[in-house]
Amino acid sequence: MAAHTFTLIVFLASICAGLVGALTGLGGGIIVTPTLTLLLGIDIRYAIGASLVSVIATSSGAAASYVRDGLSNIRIGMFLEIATTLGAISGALLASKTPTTALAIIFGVVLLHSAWQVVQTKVDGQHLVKVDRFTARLRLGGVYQSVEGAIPYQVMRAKAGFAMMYVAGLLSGLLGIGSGALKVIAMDRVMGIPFKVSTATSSFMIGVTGVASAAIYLKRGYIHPMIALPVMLGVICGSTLGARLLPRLPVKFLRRLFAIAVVIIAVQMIIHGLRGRI
Amino acid sequence: MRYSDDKLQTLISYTLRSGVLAASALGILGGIVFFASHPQMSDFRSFRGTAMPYVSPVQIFQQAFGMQQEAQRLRGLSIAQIGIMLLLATPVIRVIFSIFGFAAEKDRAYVLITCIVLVTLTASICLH
Repeated sequence: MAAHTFTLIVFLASICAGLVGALTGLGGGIIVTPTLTLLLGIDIRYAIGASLVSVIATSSGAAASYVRDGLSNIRIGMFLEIATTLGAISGALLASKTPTTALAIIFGVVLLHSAWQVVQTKVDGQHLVKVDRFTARLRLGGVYQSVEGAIPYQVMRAKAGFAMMYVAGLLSGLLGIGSGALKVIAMDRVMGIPFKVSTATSSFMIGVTGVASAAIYLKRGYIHPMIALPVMLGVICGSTLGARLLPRLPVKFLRRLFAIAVVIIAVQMIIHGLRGRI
Repeated sequence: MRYSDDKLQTLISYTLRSGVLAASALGILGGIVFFASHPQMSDFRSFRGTAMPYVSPVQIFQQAFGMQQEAQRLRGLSIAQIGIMLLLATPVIRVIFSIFGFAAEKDRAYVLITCIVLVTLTASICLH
């Protein structure tokens, strides 16, 4: 294969990755990694490096628009990032002492169940709930713009959401993937945040979760510019497009897209767990 | 109730957008220099790791902007790698700028929260 053909294939796949990643809040690794390893036969370590680039490119590319439009709630994001970064530290410390293969299988099953719940949900967001004092003090509620106009929303169970985010950070530190899925599920299912705000805030947060491994991946030579460059440029295009589309897309469609992507991640995790390759 | 975080939103949005645009500009420039050299395809089926010349930041900068007559291929990919490193730094830059943003809004609780995030983030980068 010629160098420009290779670059073009990676670039086009990365546009799709950025688009799906920005709409679901998951970051695009599920498209970049299989394209590079299965389709192009690239070593998994280069694919892991490229996947990190795709997560951070989705996050920064999409969040630039989401934050401006009020879809990413920066207060919720910053508050929960304490939990995810603490979780990531715990994960890094525990990694050598944990049976990660068993954990991958359990986590995969949990994700399958959550994907089903996300599609079943009929009520989106909480508009008229009683807010506890802790949540009120953190000023977590907000307003987002949609095609029907400005929609105010409140946040419930901030402490439970915070605990679940710690687990999300812990698992991403232990297993390497799947942190975006738990973030969206925690915000949607536990904290009662509207689905669009949940995915947009997850997009905003995953960059910070990912950046913890950036330095070590660079140092180990996982990030090769000939692969990472078309990934970066493609994902930036795709995620910018995704961020423009999200306000106009129906929530039902977004929930389905999210569920399909989470099922793919869950099946990957279970297969990896069963093969003992985590 | 309030929620006029407009200035803060604009600041964070601009920070992210500037980082992404600067990274893209360096990436496109590097890509042009790289493809102008009519490069051969590399073999990525095996992993070269730290043997490849895009690991040490000092070396990357020398290859990208140094005075020696570097091969155009190496120069192009080194410029691109600087763009990629800049992109990888955008989440950290965003957290740092948020501290100033919350401080300008006199929101002490969130200045504290953001500082905690920055400290734990730095710790986890060092731990990995």
